[in-house]
Amino acid sequence: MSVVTTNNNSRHQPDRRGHFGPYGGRYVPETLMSALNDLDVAFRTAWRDRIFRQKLNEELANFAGRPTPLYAVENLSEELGYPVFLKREDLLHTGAHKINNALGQALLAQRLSKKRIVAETGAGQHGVAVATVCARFGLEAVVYMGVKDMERQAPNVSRMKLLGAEVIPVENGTQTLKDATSQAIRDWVTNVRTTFYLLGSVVGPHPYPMMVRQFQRVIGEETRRELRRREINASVLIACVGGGSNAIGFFYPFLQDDMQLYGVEAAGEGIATEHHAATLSAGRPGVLHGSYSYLLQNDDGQVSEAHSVSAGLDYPGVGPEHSFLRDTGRVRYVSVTDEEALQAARNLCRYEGILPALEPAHALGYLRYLDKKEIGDGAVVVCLSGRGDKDLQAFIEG
Amino acid sequence: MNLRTSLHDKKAKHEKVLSCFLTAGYPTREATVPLAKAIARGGADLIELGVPFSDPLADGPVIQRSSLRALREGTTLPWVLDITSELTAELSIPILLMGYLNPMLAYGAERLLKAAKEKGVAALIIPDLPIDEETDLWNQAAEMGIPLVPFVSPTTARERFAMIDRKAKAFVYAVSITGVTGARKSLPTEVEMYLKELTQNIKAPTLVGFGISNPDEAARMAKHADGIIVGSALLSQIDEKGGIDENCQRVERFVREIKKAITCLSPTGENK
Ligand SMILES: Cc1ncc(COP(=O)(O)O)c(C=O)c1O
Repeated sequence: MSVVTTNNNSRHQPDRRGHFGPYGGRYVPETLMSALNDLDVAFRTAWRDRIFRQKLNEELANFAGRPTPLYAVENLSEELGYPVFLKREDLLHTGAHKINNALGQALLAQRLSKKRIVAETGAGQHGVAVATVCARFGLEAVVYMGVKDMERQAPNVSRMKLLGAEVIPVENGTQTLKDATSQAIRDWVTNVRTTFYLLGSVVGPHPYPMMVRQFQRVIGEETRRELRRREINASVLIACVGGGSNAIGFFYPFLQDDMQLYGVEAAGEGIATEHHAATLSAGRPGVLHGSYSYLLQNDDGQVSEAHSVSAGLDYPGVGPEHSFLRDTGRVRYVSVTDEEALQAARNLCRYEGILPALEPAHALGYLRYLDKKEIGDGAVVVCLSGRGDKDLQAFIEG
Repeated sequence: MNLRTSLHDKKAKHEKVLSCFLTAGYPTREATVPLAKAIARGGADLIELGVPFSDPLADGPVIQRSSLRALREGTTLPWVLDITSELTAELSIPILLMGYLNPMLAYGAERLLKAAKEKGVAALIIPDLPIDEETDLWNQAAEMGIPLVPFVSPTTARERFAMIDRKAKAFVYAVSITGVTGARKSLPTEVEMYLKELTQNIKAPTLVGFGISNPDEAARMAKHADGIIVGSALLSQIDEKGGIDENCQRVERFVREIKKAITCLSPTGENK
């Protein structure tokens, strides 16, 4: 539909209006257009502002606990026959990479003098991160969460409440991340003058996909620095893809390098069934939640229900930059089933003493499908985007 | 006569326009044609047929519910197009389609414009398509005489008014308040100021909608615009378990009351 930008260089995306090739843009009600413009300007100004960046870096270091380790998992490496490293985002404060973005946007909300924050959450990790930064900066937090997710990620609901956030159950539609996002956007449209929408992934209308990527690229930058310092030759990077924020943050600094990048989506009960969330493998481009991107939908353009054991990956859309990287072939998007992810998580726990969240367990689950020729004498690095305390129930039951 | 000309005509005669929104396929597909006819009998000047979408971002609970129900009833865009041609054959008022972008993209934008032309659709309203995106679609639609209707809202930057005016080949849809659709008991007082500023700066006919729930509010809003749009309040007249005839009667009565309230405003004033 949209005009394809002639510049296919991944580093130069998006264009000024938020298009990654044909994807992205701003497909929102007119009421939000001026808020999105203001946000775009505020973000660009802040990002160039040394003082803002310094403040953000201090918070990332002292509050969130950056940098995170790049850790060699020896038992797993031995079993697989090639070296595997984990980028330990699970060790961050609140237990996932989501805090990187939440801190950045909370500082922006302060610059814009917005005191009320709304957010959506699936796994509850973003919700907890939002509740946390709001407690830290004295902001009001309102988090929308599907009732199905409130059940399966109950510990995070209690955490959010303890942190002072209002958690609003969403009973509409799928009762998961998709409808929580719609409800958060409706709140924002209604209260746009006083409210900042703290979106949790690289989805939504411009500038969110670009902005959230910039806040998450610290994952990849630290990884790159550490690989250099320790003279590790990495040939493959793997990350899970829900909306795609940990993956793009991890991949972005490596897009010009020649290593193979894998984005792992949730195959649920299998992508041949109707019960999966493998948007890039099985979807078609369309518009949901403000941007043009791959989407799980039926022939009539109605959005399909996604399915995954992982609440954080249970979403029928994906960030527009991933759609672009899929089409250019720079990143390969693959998928891993519920069962495989659960098994990979249990193994990491049992043999390495690390309990991963269900989301990055999908990235771990792909390890056994890697082609040894592709790895060569290099190493594989997996982004361990979060820890699994919230998922204990699923690991024990499943 | 095209839609814009007929709206300008009404404007010249100081006749306020009443546009009524009805989710196609709600509460059942059989009910759509009779309900649309009831709306016309009640005195509506335009009908907006809502094409249901699974994720109606700009809508409140009433239209969300009606959309999901219509989808369960098997309502699709091709079906709504067919119904439109049935209605245009029988009714003398213009039929517009209102719906979210994705089902239209899935159908094919160009194919949709062609079908809309063939079936007699007067214009398209797409709440998640701002004037900044899909330039080709905006232009092609204007060329083919199936104009897209741009929105303006209380938060719209004044610099955008001229651009929006230029895009408006039929009329401008003025959203009364920041928020989603859904009846409000009354609208805040800032609305009047905003509508005044808007109509001073925009040449295209302006219809105001979102939240208008009763004859008093209808009259209040119509005073400051060329017409009004009523949606959720009308859908609320429909009893999902009720019979078609009964629902049609209620809807017709409701439309007539609203129409009467805004007709009293015209200097020529007599009620129909
Ligand atoms: C630990 C963890 N990883 C990954 C995700 C998926 O989000 P994204 O693809 O934006 O990284 C989530 C979402 O809740 C999460 O909690």
